[in-house]
Amino acid sequence: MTEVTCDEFVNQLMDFLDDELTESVRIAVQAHLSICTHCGGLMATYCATITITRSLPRCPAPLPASMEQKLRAMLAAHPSG
Amino acid sequence: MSEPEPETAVVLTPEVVFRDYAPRIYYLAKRMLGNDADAEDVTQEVLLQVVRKLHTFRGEAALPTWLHRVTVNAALALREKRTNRSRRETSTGDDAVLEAGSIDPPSTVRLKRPHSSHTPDDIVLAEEQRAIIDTAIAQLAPTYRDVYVLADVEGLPNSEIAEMLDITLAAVKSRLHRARLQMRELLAPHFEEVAP
Repeated sequence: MTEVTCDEFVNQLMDFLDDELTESVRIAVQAHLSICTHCGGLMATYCATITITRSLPRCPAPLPASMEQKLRAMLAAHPSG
Repeated sequence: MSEPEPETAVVLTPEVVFRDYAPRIYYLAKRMLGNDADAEDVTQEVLLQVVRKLHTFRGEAALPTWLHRVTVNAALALREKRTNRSRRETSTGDDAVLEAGSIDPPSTVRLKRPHSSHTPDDIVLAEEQRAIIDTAIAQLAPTYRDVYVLADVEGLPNSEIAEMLDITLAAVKSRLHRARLQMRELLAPHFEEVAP
């Protein structure tokens, strides 16, 4: 592959970031990145989106109080097996 | 005599399971299903399953993996049930990336765009910023949302997601890429510019 378009760049982006492209395609993608500021910006915000999503807490808050009460009552009514 | 390892020291009781895992079950279900009531139903069902099988677990080590799987299965089953009941088709095809409706989170909230050297652990999000991201996740079509939540929020490997959702690894990667592109579009306006 000698040249990639912006559409092709987008299609290859995940594999590029995961280092799963063949050598020739990786070089072509890097060449495109070096001349296309639009795709450079897209890749930056794509990576930022992944990083910031991964920083989300899995438990952002305690359980809502009313729900906790209901669940505790449910568990009390169903002894463990 | 040395102290026992923390993992083996914990005796699994319904209270321990509730305290340590109920919030995680609830928020995973909520992110997958997009609403509180369904997440509560799933949490209840999963906790009941855990309590019934508690005697089969020797320690906590195997529990998180099992809980992920059971929660995902319960969430998928509930969604299917809701879909059948309402007799309306949801936008879950590969061409449908977004749920119907547009996202309009508060435009004044900004997300600090992480530097490329930042890891997720370097970032502490304010509540409003978390809300922006969760609102965007909720706008993804369920097919994409499932993969995105499991991969980029829960941090599960693609192979495990493929097994959980009963789809191919290629389908996981394709859906994840499209979900990330859509999330990027939704979040990009909220990113602050990186200082030169």
